[in-house]
Amino acid sequence: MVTEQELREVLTGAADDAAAETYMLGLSDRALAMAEGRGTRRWARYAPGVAVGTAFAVAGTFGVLALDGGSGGGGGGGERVASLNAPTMATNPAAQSALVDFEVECLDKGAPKMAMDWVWDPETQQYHGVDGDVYTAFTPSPDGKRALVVQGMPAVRWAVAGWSDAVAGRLTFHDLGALSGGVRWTTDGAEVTNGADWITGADATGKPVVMDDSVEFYDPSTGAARSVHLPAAVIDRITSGQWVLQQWQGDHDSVVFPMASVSGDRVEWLDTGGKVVRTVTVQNGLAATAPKGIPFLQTATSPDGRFLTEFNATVVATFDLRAGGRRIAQSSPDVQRSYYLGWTGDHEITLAIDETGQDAGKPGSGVPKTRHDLVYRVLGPDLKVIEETKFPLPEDPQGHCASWPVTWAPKTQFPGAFVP
Amino acid sequence: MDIEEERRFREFVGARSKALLQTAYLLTGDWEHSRDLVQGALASLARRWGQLSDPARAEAYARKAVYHAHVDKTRRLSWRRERSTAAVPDRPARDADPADTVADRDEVMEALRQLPPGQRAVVVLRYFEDRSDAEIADVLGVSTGTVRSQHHKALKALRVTVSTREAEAAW
Repeated sequence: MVTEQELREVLTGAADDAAAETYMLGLSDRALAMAEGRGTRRWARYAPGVAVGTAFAVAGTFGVLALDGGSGGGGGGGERVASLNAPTMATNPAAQSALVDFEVECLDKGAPKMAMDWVWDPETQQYHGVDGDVYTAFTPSPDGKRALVVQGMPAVRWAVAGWSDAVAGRLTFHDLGALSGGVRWTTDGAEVTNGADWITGADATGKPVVMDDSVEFYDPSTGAARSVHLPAAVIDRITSGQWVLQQWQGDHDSVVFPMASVSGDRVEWLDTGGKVVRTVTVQNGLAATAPKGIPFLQTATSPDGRFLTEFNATVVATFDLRAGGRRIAQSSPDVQRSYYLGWTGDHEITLAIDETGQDAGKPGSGVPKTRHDLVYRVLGPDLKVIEETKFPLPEDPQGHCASWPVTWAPKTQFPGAFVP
Repeated sequence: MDIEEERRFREFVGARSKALLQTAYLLTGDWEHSRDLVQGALASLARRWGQLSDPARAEAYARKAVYHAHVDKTRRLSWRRERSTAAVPDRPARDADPADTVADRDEVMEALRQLPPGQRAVVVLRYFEDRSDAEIADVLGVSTGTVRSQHHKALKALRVTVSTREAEAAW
């Protein structure tokens, strides 16, 4: 027999589970991304905007970069933590990239009070907590001297300044229109441009459609925009459903549009006249996935141009372009629980694996209460692990907070910052 | 959504998402699923944030969205399972004295999970959220008569299921 009072008590007791707080992590970002249509690509949220041929700096521009919890990164009482030392790392780490921006979210009343965004400050040799409680990402220019700061999820404004000025908040923001897809540096850092993620949508029948037929390039100093129309050949390929537009390369007067076949066997670069100016073929390419009719396949060449990766939101495959495009390796599906960060060095790929476990938070489990325990794993082109490191927050020994990577840069540009 | 709207949206999510997750958990019995439900509801809210940024309206909307998504999703994805458990045997509980029996929490939760989604929603709204029939009807978009009927059936089914298990355990 169940009485009404018992029912009340049972329901209240069942709901009063610490797990509720752990599942709050990232809800704001997930919901905001989903509201803009990105959530339909279920696992794409783990894929930062790594473009074919993009230079070294990598930006995790969208994802489970979780930060709700009210003010800033959340957390309980006590003084707000304003700076963080980099966690202890190996003396001579093999990895070539350093983490220059990450996000933090804290739960529980006992958690330290922390900012949600943390950026490396070369002057103090510490991570600096960024004021404010909206999504903020600092992406270094290819030379590491300037920062592209994007705010909002979806991105609503951006600014460029010298790295130190940006860290200090000396920024002049420029507003973005709807469906901008955020902004990122062009390959040479002369301009910033919007993202390819937003160009392709799907109509009611699930057929790919072009949502915006032009791309924008912005002058980093003035914010002045120049539009470049997508070539008809690019539009035709998108709407055919057989090709996936990748992040374009070059500046407004030299842009080319890489497109990957949905079979994953071919990448072609088209100029503004629609002419194919470069082709790369690989053997046994990775087929695109097509959530809600929008094909998803993200390709990227290594900084030295030798290797190609393909990521279909489920697995990553690597190819050797100096060996006729031979497929080297394919990841296990556990990449689904990872932040695939793309090429972070000439011959290295980085994954941030969320080692979430059911024992999280239990005494002796060694797993933070947040149940999110990131392990940075540096892989070679054969996808074998070169190095792996955890990223504990020094100010959070009890594990109340979870962190997410946002941007990386060559470690030579940001000495002292965390290197996996 | 501009920066200020995003800030207020995040503030709302930070303040209310735990309660929404708890409700969703009672509906689904699974935290992962509950997060998906709440995420969908919040995404829907974010799209309408310009009209719904008042916290009370926002919460009402999000809750409605969670309940509707739960009922719709469960109907769509698990109709076989729901059909198999919807028809509760129409017989009295075998235990004679209700006062002597304290239902085990796990048994009650398991029995709750076996209810059809609409009935489960009514139970959660009534006994977890303490809502009146009229409020439940408003949230679920049904008549108060349907609420009463679902409520009656749900309690009956819960009692039969729990009593049967207790009897089986005792035997």
